Amino acid sequence: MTRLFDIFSVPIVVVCLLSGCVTTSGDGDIENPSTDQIPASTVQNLTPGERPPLDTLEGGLWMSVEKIEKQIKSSGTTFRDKELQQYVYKIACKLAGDYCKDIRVYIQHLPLFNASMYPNGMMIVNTGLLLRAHNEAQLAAVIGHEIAHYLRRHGMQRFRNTQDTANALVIVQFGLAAVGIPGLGDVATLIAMASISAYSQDHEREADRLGLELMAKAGYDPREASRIWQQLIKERDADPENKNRVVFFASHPSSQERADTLARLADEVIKEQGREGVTNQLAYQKIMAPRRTTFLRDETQLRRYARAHKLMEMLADIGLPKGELNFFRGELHRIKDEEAGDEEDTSDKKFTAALEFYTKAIAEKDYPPEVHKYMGLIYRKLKKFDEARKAFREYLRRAPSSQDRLMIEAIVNRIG
Amino acid sequence: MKQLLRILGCAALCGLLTGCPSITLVKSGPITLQDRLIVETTHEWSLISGYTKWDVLTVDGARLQRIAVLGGLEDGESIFSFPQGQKAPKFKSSMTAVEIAEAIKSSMALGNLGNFKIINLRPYKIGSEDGFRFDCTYTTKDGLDFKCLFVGAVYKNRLSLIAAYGTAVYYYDKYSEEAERMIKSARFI
Amino acid sequence: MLVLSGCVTTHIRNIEKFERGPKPLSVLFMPIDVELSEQGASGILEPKAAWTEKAKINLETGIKDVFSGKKSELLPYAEPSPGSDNERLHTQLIKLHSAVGTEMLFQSIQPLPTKEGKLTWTLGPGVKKLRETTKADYALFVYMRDSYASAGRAATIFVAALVFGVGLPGGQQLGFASLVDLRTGKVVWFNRVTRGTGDLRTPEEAQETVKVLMKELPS
Repeated sequence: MTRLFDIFSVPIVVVCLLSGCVTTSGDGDIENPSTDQIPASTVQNLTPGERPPLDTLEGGLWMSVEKIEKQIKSSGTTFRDKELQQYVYKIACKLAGDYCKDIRVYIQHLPLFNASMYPNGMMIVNTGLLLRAHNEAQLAAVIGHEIAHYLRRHGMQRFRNTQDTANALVIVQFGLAAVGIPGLGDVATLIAMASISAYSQDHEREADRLGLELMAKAGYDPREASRIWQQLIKERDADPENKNRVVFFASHPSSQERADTLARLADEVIKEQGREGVTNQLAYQKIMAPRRTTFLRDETQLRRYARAHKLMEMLADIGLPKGELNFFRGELHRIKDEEAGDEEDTSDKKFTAALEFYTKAIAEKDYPPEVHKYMGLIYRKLKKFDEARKAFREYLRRAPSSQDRLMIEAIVNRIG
Repeated sequence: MKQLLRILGCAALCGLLTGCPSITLVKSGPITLQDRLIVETTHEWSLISGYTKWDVLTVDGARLQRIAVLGGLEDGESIFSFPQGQKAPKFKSSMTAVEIAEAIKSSMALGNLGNFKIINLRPYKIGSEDGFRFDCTYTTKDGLDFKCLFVGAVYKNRLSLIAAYGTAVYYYDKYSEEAERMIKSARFI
Repeated sequence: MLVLSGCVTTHIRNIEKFERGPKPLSVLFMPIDVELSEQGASGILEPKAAWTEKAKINLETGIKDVFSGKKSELLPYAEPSPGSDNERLHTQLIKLHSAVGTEMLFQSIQPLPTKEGKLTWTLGPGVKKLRETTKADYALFVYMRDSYASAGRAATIFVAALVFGVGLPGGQQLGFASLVDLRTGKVVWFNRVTRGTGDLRTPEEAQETVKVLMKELPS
């Protein structure tokens, strides 16, 4: 079965919605062969506080998206964290300027890199994106790009074009649903997906340019836009399975080209503005620090080992706490070795890499107490019972109110 | 439109994972599940099998409440049924309860239930076999809150699990006593 | 791709004939649960916004019209204060109804032997909270979906993983409505609508759907 679009091996998904735009990595930006009729330059910018009348097409779209918000508020995937949400909202506000009061931000607890904005000013940011941005400027780059689409009403233009295509939505649905289902990888579906899934290249260019200007105006270093894309490219390229990507999506020369263009545009913007701007790395790291364990755990659970290692390596390179990062790199090895079939099992080597990373982790001043638990589990498997007991006891000492306390105690007792 | 409804319903329920489910009435008394476990129940259930690798018992419908049973999972097999090609967390006979519970949590996260929470993982016996138990909560992407509990044990190198789920409003509580009874009565064949 | 084996179409007996006394009913009109977004496997929201929002407005108007000609009263729903316990409970009850109604809907495709061919479902005694501010005896819950979304949703629960829906082209509608006794939580009246044609975006066609949906609504 040809996996036509294996979402779980692409951390960055390309979908441009019918009525909202999504920022994804360049890894498969899909061109819209039937480009929008309305030339970008003639569309008036939205005016702040503007709400179109209800009985217009736009008005209807506006109101309906408000109902989605209600659903999002109560959805199980919303990441409930007031402080974090406010932080991201403030950034969006800074970028949006006069349009700040028209914008609402929601954080979705999903490990894929993604941000989307709807024509009524609702913005969704995934935790997977928050994990990958190295600093506030990089987050601002992605958000700024989305806001640019919003300000230029690209969503509405796309919506107008696709509204008559009754099947368009079905096909998007169908396309995503096609993952893993045999027999649905035919060319017709691919073409259908491509034709409605992306903004036109003109829109993308416009949003890139305007996004950079918004960034710079708000005081951020616009060069960070190119940098976050470069980081995503590195992550994607770390995956050996990347070679087998379906040609239809991979052939678009978007990612590196786009990163280069963004770098060039950034230099222009800096010249125009006469200053370089800031990255606010410290402030960003400070707020992400307590949440990062959750985000890293989410990433680890995806089992995309090569990518996750690359991502964590890059985070270590910018100075993020090594205790935590080494722990999760150990986790990646442990899970992989644990789930490996017996043919690959060379008992001497098994779990060695995991232990090496855990050992590095506990050499740091700060690290998650779970490291000791997993070391205990591995030692126990390797029949090193004294070490196992010691590790478990250290875990219990450091995490006295953990949810698996009783079970760990029982395991220790059984080792005797 | 009954035709359409039938197609929809059947398409939704069949063909995606393991096949089309069969639904049979199970009377009160001892029930054998997955050729591995016997549980005692005091009332009737609808038994749904063949849809995924688990057997599912329900009275009011699986979307509202269910008791799901997995028996005899072998080393290297995934705990839940996932579409082909997706990396699913697997059971390994060398796993402790801690790792099994985490594999369950991982599976839930892959199913977009990233808010699945494990509460109080502790030792528990299924029959005379050492096993484990935990409580849990989650909210579906539609925003409906659920409560659940899992018990499990590795018997003869194979994993068996009994899970009870129900909506936080009304349905979990409605069957929690019966679920408790069934779990206490569970024995390996 | 569409495997039809193992599924039956049966006629289900309706809920026991709804007995109502001489008094006109007071019915609380709950917010309609209309699907406006579908989360795909990648976690990206897909709003089907304008289509279904127009539909919602038309449905609400249509339902209010149905009641205007009757003795029974349709009472407006007052949103509880944001963040309150009541808000959470009300939201859960609406979502619970959607799940209950889906089960009732599927009874005719895959009947549960434990239901013995009857549509006996309840939202539980928690509904009493809905009476607190309104004094209504009953509540009307309405649920509308586009067909393929429903199929996807129905399959989801069985596996604790998101199951990828099977899409069908076209604009079929699938919906249901219930009357719930606010004193007990029991669903006392239930009806469904499935249509292969009909564009809910237009008021006239939505009215058609409402007629089918509200057929034999006791009042």
